[in-house]
Amino acid sequence: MNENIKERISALADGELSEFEVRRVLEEIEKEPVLRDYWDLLQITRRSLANEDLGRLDVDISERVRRELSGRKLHSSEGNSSYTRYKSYLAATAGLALVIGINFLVTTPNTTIDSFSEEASQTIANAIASPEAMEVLNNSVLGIDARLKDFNYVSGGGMHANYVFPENGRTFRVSLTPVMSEYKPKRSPELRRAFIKTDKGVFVVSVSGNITDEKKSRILQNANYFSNQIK
Amino acid sequence: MVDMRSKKETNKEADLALVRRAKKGDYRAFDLLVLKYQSRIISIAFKYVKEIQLAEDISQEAFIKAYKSINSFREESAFYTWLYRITANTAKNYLVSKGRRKESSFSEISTSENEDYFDMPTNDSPEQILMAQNLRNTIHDALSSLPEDTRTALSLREFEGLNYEEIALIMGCPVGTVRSRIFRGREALENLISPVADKFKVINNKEII
Repeated sequence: MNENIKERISALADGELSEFEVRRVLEEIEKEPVLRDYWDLLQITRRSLANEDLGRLDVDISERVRRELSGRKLHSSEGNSSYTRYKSYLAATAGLALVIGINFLVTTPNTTIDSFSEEASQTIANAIASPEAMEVLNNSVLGIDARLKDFNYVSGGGMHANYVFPENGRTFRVSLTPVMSEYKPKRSPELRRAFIKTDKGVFVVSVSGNITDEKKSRILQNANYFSNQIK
Repeated sequence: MVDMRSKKETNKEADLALVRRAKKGDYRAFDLLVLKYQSRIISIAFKYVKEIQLAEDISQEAFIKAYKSINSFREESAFYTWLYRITANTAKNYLVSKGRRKESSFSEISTSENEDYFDMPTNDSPEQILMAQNLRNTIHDALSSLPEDTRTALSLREFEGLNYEEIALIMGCPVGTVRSRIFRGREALENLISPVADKFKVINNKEII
C-alpha cells in the first residue's frame, strides 16, 4: 500500500478530492481491499479525535451490505472483519517494527515518532525478553483450531495474542500480564488462569473473548502444562 | 481573512463526494459510507430492539434502503442525519410489525429531518464508554507528541473543521503541504490506535481472570 494512495484516501475523508480523483481512489480501493480497511481505521481515528460516539465497533455488517449491493459472491477470506485484514496487512508490511513503534509511543507519549529508530533495538530486546513466556503462549493453543491474528506488547511488559476461529470468525485473546515479584497468586477453585515464572518475573496467563469455557480451560491447561515444563 | 464554517458543515460536505458517486450507481462509494457509519447505525438500531443480532439485521436493511433511495436524498441535511432517520423508521416498523410496541410510543426518539444526530449518545454500556474513553485518551496523548506543524494542521482540520485551503492560509503553506501533514498525523495516530481499538472490539467478552 503506497503512501500516495493512502494520502488521497485521507483527503477523500475530508471531501478534498475532485470527482475524477474520487473515482480513481474508489477504483484503487476496489483493487486493493486493504485500502478499504485503511479507510475504516481512519474513520475510527477521526471519531476518537472528535470525541464523537464510537458506537458498536465490535460488529461489522459492511460485508453483508456490500455483498447485497454489489451482487457479487465474496471470497471466504473477505468475510473476515476488515479490521483483521488491515492488521494482517500491517503485520506483513511493517511487521515487528510497527509493534515496536506502537509500544514505544504508548510507553513514552512525549517522544516524537522520529525517535523510533533510535530506540528500536532496546525496545526489541525488552519485548522479547521472556522467551519462556512466548513459548507458553505459543503452546497454549495447541489442539485448538484457531489462527493467530496478531499480537502486541503493552506497557509494563505485558502481551496480548489475538486469535480467530476460522470456522466462525469469533475471536479470543490470550494475555500475558506480568505481576510484581511480591505478588502471591491465589489458587482459584476453578481453573481460570495459569502462572509462568521466568527470570523476568511472574506472568499471569488469562483468556478472554468469544470462546467457550471448555476451550478456555483447554488453553489454560496447556499453559499450565508448558509452564511446568520450563520451570 | 478565513471564512470559518462550522465543523458539522465541513463533515456534511466531506460525505457529499461519496454520496454523489453513489447516486450514479457506484456501490463502492456507498460501501465507504457504510464503513464510516455502521457502528453508529447499529447502536441506534440496538437502542430500539435491544438485541444485537436484530440490530445488525435492521441496520443492514436500513443501509440497503438508503442505497436504493439515495436519489431522494436532497443533500439539505447531513447524510448521516438522513441515514439515522431511515434506521429509526426501519426499527420502528419492525417493532410495530412484531406487535412489540405501539407506534405512538416512539416519541422519545426523535426522527426530525432537520435534527443533527452527530452528537447523540447511543446508550452504550459502561464498559464500552470506558473503552471509548481510553481510545480517545490514547489518541489525544499521541496527538501531543506529533511535530508541531503536523499537530497544528490536524487540529485545525479535526477540531476546527477547516478545509485544506483555509488551513493553508492560516499556516502560510501550500494546500499540498497541508494535505500531506494531515495525512502524516493521521498515520501516526492510526498506528497507535490499532491495538487499543482491537481491545475495544472484544469489550462484550468478559475477562475471566
